[in-house]
Amino acid sequence: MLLMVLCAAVGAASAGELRPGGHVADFTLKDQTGAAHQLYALAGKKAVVIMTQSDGCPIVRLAVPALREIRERYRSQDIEFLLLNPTLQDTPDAVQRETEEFGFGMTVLLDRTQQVGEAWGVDRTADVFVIDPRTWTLLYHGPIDDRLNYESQRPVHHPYLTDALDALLANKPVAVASVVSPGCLINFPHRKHSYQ
Amino acid sequence: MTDLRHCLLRAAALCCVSGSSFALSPGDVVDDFRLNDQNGLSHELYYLSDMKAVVLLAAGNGCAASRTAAKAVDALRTRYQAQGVEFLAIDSNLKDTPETIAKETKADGTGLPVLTDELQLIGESLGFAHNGEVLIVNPQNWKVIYQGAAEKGGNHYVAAALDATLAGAPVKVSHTDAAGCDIVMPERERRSAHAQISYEKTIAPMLSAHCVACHREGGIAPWQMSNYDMVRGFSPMIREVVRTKRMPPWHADPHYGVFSNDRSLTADETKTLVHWIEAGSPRGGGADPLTAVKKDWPVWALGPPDLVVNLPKFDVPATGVIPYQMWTVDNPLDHDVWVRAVDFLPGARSNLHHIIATIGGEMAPGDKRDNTDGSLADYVPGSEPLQIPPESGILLKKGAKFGFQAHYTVNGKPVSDVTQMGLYFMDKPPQYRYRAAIMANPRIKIPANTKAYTNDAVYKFDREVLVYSLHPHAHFRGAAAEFVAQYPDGHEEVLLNVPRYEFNWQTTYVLKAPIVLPAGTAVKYSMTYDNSTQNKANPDPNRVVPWGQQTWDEMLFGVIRFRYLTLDANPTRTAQTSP
Repeated sequence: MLLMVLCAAVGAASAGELRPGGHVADFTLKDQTGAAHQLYALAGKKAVVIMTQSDGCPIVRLAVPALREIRERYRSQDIEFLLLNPTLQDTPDAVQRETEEFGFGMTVLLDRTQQVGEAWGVDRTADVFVIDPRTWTLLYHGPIDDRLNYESQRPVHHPYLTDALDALLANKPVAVASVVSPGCLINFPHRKHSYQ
Repeated sequence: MTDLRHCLLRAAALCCVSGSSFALSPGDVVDDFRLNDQNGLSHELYYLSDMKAVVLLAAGNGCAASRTAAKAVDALRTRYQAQGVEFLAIDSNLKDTPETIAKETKADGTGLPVLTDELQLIGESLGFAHNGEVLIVNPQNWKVIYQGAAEKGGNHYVAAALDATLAGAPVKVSHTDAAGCDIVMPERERRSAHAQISYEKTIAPMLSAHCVACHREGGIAPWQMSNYDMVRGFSPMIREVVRTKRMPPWHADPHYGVFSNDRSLTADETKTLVHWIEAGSPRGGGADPLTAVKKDWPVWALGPPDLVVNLPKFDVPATGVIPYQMWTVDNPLDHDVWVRAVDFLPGARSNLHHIIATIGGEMAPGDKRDNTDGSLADYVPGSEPLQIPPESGILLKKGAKFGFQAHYTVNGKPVSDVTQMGLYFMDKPPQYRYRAAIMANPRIKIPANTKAYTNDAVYKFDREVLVYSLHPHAHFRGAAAEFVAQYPDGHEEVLLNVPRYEFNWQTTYVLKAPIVLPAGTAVKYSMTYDNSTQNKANPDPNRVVPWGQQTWDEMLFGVIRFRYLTLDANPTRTAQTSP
């Protein structure tokens, strides 16, 4: 019995991770200006692309212009592009300052209780989640491409995000559905870490 | 089924083993780390992302179980390495040193790299309990796929796990009980005490002393350590950059040389910081010293310079890879002067990553000038002004031109920079010239798709010299550097080992106590290049890379700053023309 209780507790800690093919639950979050956004209100879109963000992460600052460029390229395709900040430290004012200073030009959803971040098993910033609104399943999870690392950039060889979007738009399976992002680790104080 | 087994294993670990002990279980993620092996070579776990599996062995000197396991794992290494499996041993035993480990592996005849985990931070987080136990990690997601004994009772668990992984099949036996010699880890027994580490009295002062020079408003670091909430939010990131030796940005192997500009945390500081984070970054009581960080920047730390040289204006774009900027600026003086100190005042501290200043441009081999002249000073973020030892100086002749190489990094927004160089002069000529010995090979050709290619150059001192500093230089593909003195009596000494060269940090390693090299000493400078896709800064691994000034080309280029030990007869004359 004791084992069963422990198993349930441990299972809950690791079951939170959202994997490609997994179901994305609805949520409503405020953005940096205070406006509320509901995920399932985007049901008519062809895709929802959400990239994790935190203030001060160099990988995010260099990834956002690339994400904006992709948004521009797919403008006719009716795809929603959003940022998600699941940190405890970034206040709405701080996020607003960051978006202005770096000219993000994108909506940042503030997950101040880390509810979405915990549910999805978010680990790092600059991690893109591509969601199919027809079924609310996750199709891709990883960086935009393989260009960025800390204090270095190189030519793109794998445009993961646009590959995933092209597959979705062509009704084909996404070939590479999961890649580890180089982004900044986000602190989830309530998550159990392997070293604890 | 597998989940249930993990669960039972975890449950067993939680309830059946003493409270402070734990082990990584199959399915757990192994966090990244970087350690040096017994030969001073650097290994990073996540660099191995192109492998099919990584086998980690807990090893210790003088332990029979460890020796048996090491021989078994070494035999597997011979069999599986060609199939994309990497094998590393990790020695987390406090009594073992790189020297004693090298001795034992040599005696045993094993070719396994043995990483020395002297701070025990990696062994603690891997949950190593016994020398001789094995972890197998899947580089696709860095999860543990096997944990336990190398082999037991004729069962070859590791080989079976590797066969399954290589065949794309699940690992049948993912956990066994490993026996072996206990690894003593005092801090692992003190986890509850780590929650008492004071943010106010210990952590914040440590960050103020080592990090805030850059991690502050307007600094080159991307985020500011402005209060507890920021530090707590970035805690897992701080732990990662410390464990992988990315920060603080100091890359010298602590086993060789003592340097006055050492930016690293001490061993105790590193352990305290990581243990505090692993305890959940507790705030504790008291004030928050980081909110009181000053807002102003130092202006000319040595007072107003005798000459201020303005560098050209540069507009830094928001993103992309920026070529090095090479500038020539006139010296406005109409007379010769002796320089005693050099400082830089960056215009855009957030983007200026380094400047290498010369008199007459960067020296290259075959240059007609005397190759002990030319170097002036370097700027890197957080560096102190160059103060030349009192009895020495650098001659700046009238009509000479300044050469600058400037390296900017992008941070997501466009910025303009005008940097100033300040020069401080001597009242009268010095007794000695402050000189530079250049070691270079302009005929370098780095083969394509090669993870480690080493090339070297030698400089022989024909007079007795006093050496002040060492500076390795390479570009995107630089991976590791070393300066080794070969004395006239035949013995060798490592003056500086940089196991992980980082081109973004063009550090000059300034010896705390200058060293004397007798006449006839040759210094061999070597650089190892990584021209593979695993080098995340590499723009094109398919290219054979030649010498070139720009970062997409390469250099084998090292500098030693020194003076002759005996008085220069006439210091204003160059070494080439003096007797």
